[in-house]
Amino acid sequence: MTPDWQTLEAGFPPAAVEHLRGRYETPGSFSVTVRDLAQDSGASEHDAEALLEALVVGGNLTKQTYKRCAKCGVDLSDDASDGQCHNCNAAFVDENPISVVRYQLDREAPRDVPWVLVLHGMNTRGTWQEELTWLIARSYKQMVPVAIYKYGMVRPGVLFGWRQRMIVRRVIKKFVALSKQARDDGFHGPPDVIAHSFGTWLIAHALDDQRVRVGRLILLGSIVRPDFRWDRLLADHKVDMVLNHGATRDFWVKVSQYGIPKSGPGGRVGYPAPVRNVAAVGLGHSDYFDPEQRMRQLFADVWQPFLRWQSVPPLHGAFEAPRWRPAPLLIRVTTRLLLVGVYASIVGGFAVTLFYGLLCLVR
Amino acid sequence: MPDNERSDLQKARDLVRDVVLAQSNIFIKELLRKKDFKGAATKDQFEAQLEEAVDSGKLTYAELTEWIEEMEGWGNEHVYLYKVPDALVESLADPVKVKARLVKGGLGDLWQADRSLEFPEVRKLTGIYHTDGELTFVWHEGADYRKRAPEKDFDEDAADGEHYYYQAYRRMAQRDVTRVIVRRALLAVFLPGDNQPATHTDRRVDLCGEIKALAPFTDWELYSMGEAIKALDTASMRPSLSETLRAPNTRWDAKGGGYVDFGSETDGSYAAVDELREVRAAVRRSKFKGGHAQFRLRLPPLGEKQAKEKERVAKVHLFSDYDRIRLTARLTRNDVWWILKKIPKKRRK
Repeated sequence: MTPDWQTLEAGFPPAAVEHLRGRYETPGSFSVTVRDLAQDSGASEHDAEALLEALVVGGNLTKQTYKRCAKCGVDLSDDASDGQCHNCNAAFVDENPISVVRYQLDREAPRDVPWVLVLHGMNTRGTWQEELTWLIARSYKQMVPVAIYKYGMVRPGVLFGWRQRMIVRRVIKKFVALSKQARDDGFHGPPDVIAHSFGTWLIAHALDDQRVRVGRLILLGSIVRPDFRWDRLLADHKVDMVLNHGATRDFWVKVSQYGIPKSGPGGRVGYPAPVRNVAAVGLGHSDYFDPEQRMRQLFADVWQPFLRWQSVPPLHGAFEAPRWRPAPLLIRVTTRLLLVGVYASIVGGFAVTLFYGLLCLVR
Repeated sequence: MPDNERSDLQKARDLVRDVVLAQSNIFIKELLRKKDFKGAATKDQFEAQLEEAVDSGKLTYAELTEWIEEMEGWGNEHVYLYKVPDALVESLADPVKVKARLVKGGLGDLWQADRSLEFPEVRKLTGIYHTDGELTFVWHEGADYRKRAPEKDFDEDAADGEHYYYQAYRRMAQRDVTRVIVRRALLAVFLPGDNQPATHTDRRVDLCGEIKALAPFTDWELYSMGEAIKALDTASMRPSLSETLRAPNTRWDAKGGGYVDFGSETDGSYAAVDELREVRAAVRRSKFKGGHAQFRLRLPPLGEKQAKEKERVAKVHLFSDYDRIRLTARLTRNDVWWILKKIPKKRRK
């Protein structure tokens, strides 16, 4: 239950309320004493106690008294008493145990991010990956290794199924190698993955391989079809949780199904639960990463909470996916053939020009 | 009423007064519940209900002695776990072979002996039992400890011109039960009293000396509590176990010397606190040893009714120093074995 912060601020020192609010918004458990809160917020002990008691009455905190050895400080609560401390042997009659009252909130522990794999999209070499890696490295106090997988620019290649399959196989091979290296160095557990554009398509299809398992998956500008069976992958524990962060003005996501086989506007339409859909209002296909300040904000407001909370709190911009039907097959086939034709004519024209150029040189 | 029945009745009454009431209220409550007595909350009320149960024949002397065996001396003790050599596992699980060796070693009269209610001043081996493949050695000792009695303090001006303060301690009698139990490949030594682990070494040598014909355990390998600490602390960080296993305090000893102490000021895991979890994530297990730790394990309910009441949690302290386990709360036999089952049995690396 979340306290009504506005009401509390009206009745208690705002600095103390703000301090506790910060703790509530941090994942995991916390506890304070009256003196802790008074010292950290500058409030009087009387006001700090009144605030904490109000939160206890509201069911937001619990109040617990702990018995501690006055000499060594060890916790004596619930111990069988032989009249002395089990740790330092202090006789309680001489060193009377002290009582410490703590106000506490017991919640799930924060989630660990073992390591992160970042996958970029097509038509880019993913320079944002370096920026994101640097941002992740600064955001965690412990070492969170970030692996960037670059597969090059695959502009026309995405039009062909055989080329897609080839890249998926490469991603799987790299994923397996990185997982082994991470494990060998003590980073246990599957990686969290942040994928953009064609990277979302690659990881979604790489999950078909039995060797690939990921923790939490963040899809940015996803071109995975909205009817993709994430539910099966989640039920099979191939992926723990999926966040679909879709930009509302993403043109390429909207039209992907007309050119890329087995793709669709997942980023804009969303996916059925249990996938979490969050709209990035007003952004285009690659606006998540530029400018850097925006990426930092999205990381703090959306990606980081998704990765760090065991039970993800409500995220701003969440939406439910409507029912989706792909564009008529005839249209999709026609547009793809057109694109292939354009590509073939460009390649063919280039080849003919090259051939005649060489012929002229020889003559 | 026949003499032997009257004698059992009287013995049961004595047992209630001298032994049963000294046990933890929660356990007495559960015993009374099984006999359909409810509502008692104080020792006086428990005593009245127990006497009624005994007088009405609902609670027999045999049931009481069995119950005491389940309750008395369990918890609030130190435990040491040894690995039974593979070659001895089968022979120690075989009651015929064990009995033959006991008789040969002059301990035949202790084989499946009646439960002794005697607590001599000097520790005495009172019985050797073999039930369901489990071999148990039981020692009794009427120990005592000092408890401060400030009401008896006084001060006086002495003849030498100085003023002296005298502090009084009352001698408190206590029934200590020491056990060595062999369960297949595991031998557990249960030592009550004394918090000084250095003295435990001598006590274990003494115990071993008495039963060396069967189980010369001081020569056997002690399971590493340092390794157990590492495994349990790591397990406590898994979300799926956070309700049943908590690690409020853990000390990690650096292999290069020094240590890192992680501590929660509540009964929750320190790793549930965001800042501490970040620091903990920087601890590479391969570079540290488990030093000591306190774990909180949620115990199974005592009975069906108890399941609906407040959960029972046992505090378990593990120390790599001397590879000892310290239980600080009173528990039942089943509780203690449940806890020992949860402690990873790992060899020292």
